[in-house]
Amino acid sequence: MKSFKLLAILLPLLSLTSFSARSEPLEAKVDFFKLPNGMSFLLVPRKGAPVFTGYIRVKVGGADEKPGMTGIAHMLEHMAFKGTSTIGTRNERAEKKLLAEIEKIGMRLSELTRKDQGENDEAKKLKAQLKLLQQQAEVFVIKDEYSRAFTKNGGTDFNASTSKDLTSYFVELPIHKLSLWAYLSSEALKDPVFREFYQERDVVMEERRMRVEGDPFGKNYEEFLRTAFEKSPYKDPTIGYEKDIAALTATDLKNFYRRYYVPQNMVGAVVGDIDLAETKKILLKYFGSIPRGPDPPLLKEIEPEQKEERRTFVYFTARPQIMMGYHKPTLPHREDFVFDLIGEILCEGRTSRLYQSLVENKKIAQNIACDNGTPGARLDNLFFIYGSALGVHTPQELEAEIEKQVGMLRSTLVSKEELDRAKNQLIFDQLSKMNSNMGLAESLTYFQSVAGDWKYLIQHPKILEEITREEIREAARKYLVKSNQTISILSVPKKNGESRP
Amino acid sequence: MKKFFILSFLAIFISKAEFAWSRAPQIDSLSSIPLGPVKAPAVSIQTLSNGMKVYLLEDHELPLIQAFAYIRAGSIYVPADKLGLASILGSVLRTGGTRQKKVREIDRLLENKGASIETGMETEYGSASLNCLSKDASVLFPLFFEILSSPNFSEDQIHQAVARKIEALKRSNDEPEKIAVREYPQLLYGKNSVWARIPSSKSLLSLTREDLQTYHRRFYHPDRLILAIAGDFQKEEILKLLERSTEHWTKSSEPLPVVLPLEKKWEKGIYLMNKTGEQSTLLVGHFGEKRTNPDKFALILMNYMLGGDIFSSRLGEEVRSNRGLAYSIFSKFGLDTDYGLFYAMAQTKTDSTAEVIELIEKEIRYFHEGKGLTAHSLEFAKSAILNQLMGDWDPHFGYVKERARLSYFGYPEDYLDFFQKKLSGITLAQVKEVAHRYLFPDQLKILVVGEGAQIEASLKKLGEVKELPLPQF
Repeated sequence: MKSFKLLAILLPLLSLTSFSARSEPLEAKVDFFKLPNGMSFLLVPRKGAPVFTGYIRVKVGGADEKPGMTGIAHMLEHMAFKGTSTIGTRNERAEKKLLAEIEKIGMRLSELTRKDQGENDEAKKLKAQLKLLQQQAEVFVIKDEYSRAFTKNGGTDFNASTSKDLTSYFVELPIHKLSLWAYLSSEALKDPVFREFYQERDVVMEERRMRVEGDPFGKNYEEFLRTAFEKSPYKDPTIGYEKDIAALTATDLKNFYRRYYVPQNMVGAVVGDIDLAETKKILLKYFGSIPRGPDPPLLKEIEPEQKEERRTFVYFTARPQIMMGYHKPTLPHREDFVFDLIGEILCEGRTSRLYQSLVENKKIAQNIACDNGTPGARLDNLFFIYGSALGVHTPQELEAEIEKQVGMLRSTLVSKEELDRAKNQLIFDQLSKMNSNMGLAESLTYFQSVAGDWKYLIQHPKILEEITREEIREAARKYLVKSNQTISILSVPKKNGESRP
Repeated sequence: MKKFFILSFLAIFISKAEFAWSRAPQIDSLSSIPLGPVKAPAVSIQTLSNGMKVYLLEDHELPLIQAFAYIRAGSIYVPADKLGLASILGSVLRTGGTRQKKVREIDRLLENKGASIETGMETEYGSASLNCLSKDASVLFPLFFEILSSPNFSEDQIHQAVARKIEALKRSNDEPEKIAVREYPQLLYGKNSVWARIPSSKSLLSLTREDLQTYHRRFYHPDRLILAIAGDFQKEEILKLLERSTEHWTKSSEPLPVVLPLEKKWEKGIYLMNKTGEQSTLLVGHFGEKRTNPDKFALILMNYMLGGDIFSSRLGEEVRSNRGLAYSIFSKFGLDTDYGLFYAMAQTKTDSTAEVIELIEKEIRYFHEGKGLTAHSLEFAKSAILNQLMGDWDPHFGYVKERARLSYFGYPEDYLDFFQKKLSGITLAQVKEVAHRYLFPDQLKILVVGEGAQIEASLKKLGEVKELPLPQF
């Protein structure tokens, strides 16, 4: 107990302001730059390596999809690498004609697929025709000219990602490639051509097989979300359902693209060894010409309140695991900050409660993890807990112990040491992320897009510092309760046709 | 037949059109904007009085310090009857407490400050990392070295680590990709090779505290450690702190054990491991080379062109872009301490398994015969690899860590410059020559993890198929 007390006394709260004496605070370094067309940029010049990170977020993701069209935001992300009407083609006009013919067949095939007739005689004939046309169209393609331009010029971490909330494109390049990055990225945003669409759709089907069908976590997660949400678009997988992906057309993509890829819906960041004035000129020149369109439709909160516990089982030949979730408000609600801290107290580090109880003491779990904000933050979301069982122990044992620990959060105040530690850990992690250009660009654009202001990053630790032990208990009592809980357990199917446990 | 004719006609057309003018001349003009003079970050290299080598780079932008240690240890030095010792020692070094402190105390001390110390062990080195605020360095570096030099290896934590390791092995059977990557070295090097060994539950359960102590005593010494540090510190001060924190740690007295060299045994074959699922994971390859091989620069470029980059390589183009047969496809040409692994790896739907294998074989054969290797693709590969070197300078810690890693593996201090010069000088003839000499399209060892019953017939058309049982742990 001695060391406990001593530590508690010695434990000053970290803060982002405590080091501002030596290094400039973040506020002073970030330059917010808005183009006349409404696209915003966050610019951070930092001395160091002669490189920069270019990061672009489009505020569109799985949550913006209509039923039956799941996976379209992700598919569009894939197609953004296929070039434009000048990049990636030898003869735009000849190619355009062929692409129109391909699309006609693709549309009809999609119609058949949606009616479950994707394998009938007409479909087979169309597929053969499609293949021939695709071969003809390939003649005009300069293979991956767009992506290769990034790679050849030293792009590292060149990639893109799609979540329920956002579509993101990012790369790190040597500093003298700034204009090239601005040119390529802006062209892809304003003038994409969906060439090789149907080949790429097959690639995405393979991606789904890899990430969902063949992966126990992916499979369980998909079932878990479908159970946890009733109406919210957060119930569907970002990659899309197999039958939806199989019926997507380039025309669907074009419509989706027109609605969401407007400059006022995009946020960029350039972080690295840049000159501010010069960078602004370049950004204006290239991104400034993306035409403004109507504002995209806003997401509405449509998830009804959960009234009773939900539960699902996934049978899969794999070692058992459990997922648990509790509905809660998203940012900037104060309770969202409270859940950041609850996540730390329960799961982060070896001193955390679930690690101590499930892994160290009871030895029933191989691993545990928490996430505040599953599967996104543009709508109300979940506080998520994952556990993998150890040895002969079952997910049901994990569930009982997690419930016990969560119950303690409801009944008893956390210690001051625990709360302060949680705050320090969160603040340290945030600081660590700023160490790389990529990490800083990612954080700035994320909060600018999702919270509407990058300064959330600065506010965050300040609000965290205010949060009290009572608020933690209150949030636990309000949200971490059975009637607000969803559980999905994955385990090996029982033999002898035995059904649910 | 008609279809074939059209296809080969198209192929010629496309390869001729390779040099057709792009309709986006801005790409070339903007790519050629020159870079002003740049200098790699100035890393300082020091050796402490106890023989520890330190790579330092000051960076005062954020009040953080990051450190990483390479320790001359690894699973290759573990005796045959102690399999699993390396990974257990790697984790219990940190979780088993020290002779002075219980693990709970260490955990609290670190996490109250938001800091972390972690340890681990790989095939060829032990590792340890420290992340903290700069103001905590004076407390945490001594703790870091206390953990490395006087661990306690508590029995309870050994049991825990063993149970979790066994669970991890069982869980590695849940994902086809993990199975394939785990099993392929066994197929190529043999089950008992130090480069391929996999522990069993039995070997793990037989490990004792004494085993860990013996291994630790033999390998963990300051003169066997290379440390990389970047962040907010003053060089002179931190060197003094490092000296102080390691003054009681003794130098090594025993030489390192001798690791027997690999023998290349060429045995082509197709192996099938049954795993229910919609997709097959497949590896196609053979032996790679040693990192000391003077042909390595040409080999690096050759592999880049074959499958090193998803968007520009032959495999990426043929398997993914043209045919949509895989999301993930790449090749790796291992240039390691001993002969590395060369393989192409892909995941594809069950009924296209044989097709993807054939495509990979075909590309390997083409390269071996000098086809598909063009001046254009060589220039591309060089440009990509050389331009990317600068990306390694950010964040600074990544750069210092890379310098320490190169030093650990015996490269000279100016290796990155040397690498750049050598790579730039490679000619197409040299790449063709190494492709011919080091690729063996008739000696491929193929491993498929997938839905056995559905794949077997199509695989048999490629040759005799040997079924392998999925190992259980």
